[in-house]
Amino acid sequence: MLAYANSMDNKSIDQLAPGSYGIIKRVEGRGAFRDRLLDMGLTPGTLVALRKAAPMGDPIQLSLRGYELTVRKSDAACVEVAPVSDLSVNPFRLSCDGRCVSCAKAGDCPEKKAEPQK
Amino acid sequence: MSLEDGRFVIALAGNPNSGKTTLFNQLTGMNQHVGNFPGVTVEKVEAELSGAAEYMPKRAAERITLVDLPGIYSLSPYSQEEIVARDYIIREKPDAILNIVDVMNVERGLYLSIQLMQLETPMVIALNMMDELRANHGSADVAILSQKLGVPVIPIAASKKEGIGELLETLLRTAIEGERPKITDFCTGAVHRAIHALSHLIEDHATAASLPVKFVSTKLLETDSVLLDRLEVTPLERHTLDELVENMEDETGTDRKAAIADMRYAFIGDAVAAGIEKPHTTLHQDRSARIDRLLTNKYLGIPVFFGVMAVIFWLTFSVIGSALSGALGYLFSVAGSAATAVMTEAGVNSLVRSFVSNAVFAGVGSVVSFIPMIIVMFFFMSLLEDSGYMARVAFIMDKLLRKLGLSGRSIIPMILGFGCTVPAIMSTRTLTSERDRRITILLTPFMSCTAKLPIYGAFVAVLFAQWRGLIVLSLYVLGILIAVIAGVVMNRFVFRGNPVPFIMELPTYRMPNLRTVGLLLWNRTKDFLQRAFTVIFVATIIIWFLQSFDARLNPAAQESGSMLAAIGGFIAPFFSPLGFGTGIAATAILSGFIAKETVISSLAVLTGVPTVMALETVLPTIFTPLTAYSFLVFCLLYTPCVAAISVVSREMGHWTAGLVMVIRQTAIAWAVTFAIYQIGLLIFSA
Repeated sequence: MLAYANSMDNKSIDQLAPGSYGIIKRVEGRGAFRDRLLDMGLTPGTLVALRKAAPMGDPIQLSLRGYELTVRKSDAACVEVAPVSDLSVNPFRLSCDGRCVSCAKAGDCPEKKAEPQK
Repeated sequence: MSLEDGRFVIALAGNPNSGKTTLFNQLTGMNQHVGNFPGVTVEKVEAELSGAAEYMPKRAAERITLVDLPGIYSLSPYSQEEIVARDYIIREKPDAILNIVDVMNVERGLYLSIQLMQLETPMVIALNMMDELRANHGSADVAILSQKLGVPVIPIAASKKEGIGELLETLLRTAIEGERPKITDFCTGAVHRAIHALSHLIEDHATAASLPVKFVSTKLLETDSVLLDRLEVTPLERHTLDELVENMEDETGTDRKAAIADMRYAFIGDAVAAGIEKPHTTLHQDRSARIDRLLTNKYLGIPVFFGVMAVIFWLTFSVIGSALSGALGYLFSVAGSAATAVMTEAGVNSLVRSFVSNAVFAGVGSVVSFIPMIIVMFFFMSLLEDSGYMARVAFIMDKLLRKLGLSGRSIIPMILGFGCTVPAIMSTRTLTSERDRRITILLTPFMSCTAKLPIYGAFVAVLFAQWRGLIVLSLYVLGILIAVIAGVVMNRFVFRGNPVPFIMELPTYRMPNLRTVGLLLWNRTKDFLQRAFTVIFVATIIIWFLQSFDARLNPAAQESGSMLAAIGGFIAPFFSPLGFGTGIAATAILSGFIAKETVISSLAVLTGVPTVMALETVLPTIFTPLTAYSFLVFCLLYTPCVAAISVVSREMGHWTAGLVMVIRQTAIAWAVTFAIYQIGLLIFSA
């Protein structure tokens, strides 16, 4: 099940461990670059995962809203996330409030039924 | 206006990787007209709906023009593509917008859609990739979506030609009836009130400037300075505007841009929750993730990339490309000989014979010989792009190239440049950022192309026998080094504009569409022939003229008496500080304008040896090892051949670009060669 960390544990997106998830809290900065981040869907409240880093360490690959984005680490530093732990359900099937988008209910999803309750 | 007597213009808009190009190619055919949007080097493709003939009477299809707008994610004022797209719709007022949305990325697609809806233009949404949605056990209720969004929504699968008929029917009906989007307000609460107030404030200005009011109000809330300028508001109004927005920010507790983005996504989320049943599986994304486990693997990713490039390089320049080029070259020389024979028989003047075989056939032959390489290169580039692998290349190579201010994609043209500069520069079309494209085009000629190898080969065989490998390697490395330095300089001083932030989508892997690949090959080859042909052909004729006549315009008895040689003799002193200030060397360098291989054949002719092989005996008498190396360095760096120059002019958008490149490359070549020669003198005389 989802366990939210409190805001003291907030990190920037590039500090997430590869394979882990976070909920976006804030997007810092101003101007063209930040607008671009928002336009591409990196808005507060969005569930995002850091998939991996490129072979040379930079840029990083993020999963959100059902697609993959790459962003440079230095640019990703302005996105603040609250890490989400114990997330065992495929993020594509979660909306940002933790409900299964297939059935829009928390708890009735066939995938969730199959998992051991935590 | 009805279909019978009117002409319609439809603008095709959508995200990159949404199937827009596939749809465009399905609806049109080989009649595509490729140009630029006015004033910019953003490509504009338009065509009549000749591919839609099975859905409507041909006469009607011919009256409908489809304009492909660049793939964009939003209508912000920050990138050239976005500005071009929105200006096109606002200024040219197409009869309708065909907005293609990838249903597998529906939220992001609709983010653009609701901005398009504010442009007061009839619009239809084509919901693409329905086949993928079904395969993943999802579904879409387009009736609900249409109702929620206020525009018709038609499900299609462009790659499988599904739904096209219904799409066209709805599109045309919407265009004919001028049905504008029913919903233009997407915000609630404080944001909505702010937009409303803004609209009142700027309504007059917007109407005077022929700008859609709702669109402008929303954009002003996002501080779109481009639109603000166009409105020509007074300072007082400006102040009121700012206050309005600040009040809104206080009320919502977030800044303006985040507030609007939130509103948009909330609206979209509501529509999607009602109208789309999200897939339970993610087959294509899972498959892409599996493929990426290899292709962007921490240890294997880069080697695999170089492997792929090696194969492409080999096939383009060795196997297919050079085989076909060789075959064409052979055909042309056979035809040229045949023509010569026929003319000799007929007693035609020897000068005319020379013109026909050395200028006409050789000129045409040289242009045509590039075509196999270009076709093969574009074939592979197209496969890489359409499959989705190109994005991965940008991903893994980014860190390396960002020091030059470029993105990872630029690595490919540079690698191709080691084969031939012409297809390499043409491959920069895959670069989306105009700034990146320009820098890459300027750096590619520093990559030593294969046409220079015969020059290296001849000198190395004679003068550096034991060191041959090292010498050639040093030349390649020098080229790369100069490119890096030039790149850093350009990045810092010349192209100082803010580089576009690197946020890029990694699309799911998809099978490339053969029709799209085919049409791309057709368009690019046609483009090359149309643009490059005249330039190269004329240049060949000019050089022939200079080689065949002397200063008094009498036929030159031998090459050394020709005008070209005279010019060579005249400029020879410029090469003295570089160590090879002889008329012969200078003339050979001049002839390198046409093709780099000509340098060697020119040297052979000028020194009077019967074959290129026999150069071995003569070169050591003209060059010392140091002056030979200087000569090679100069050949490495100076102006590329006329074919490359013409392609550069074409890609940069203005003929002066080629001229500037010639001057710049030659200046750099001179400076570097000078340094090397003088340092060499110091070292070796000590």
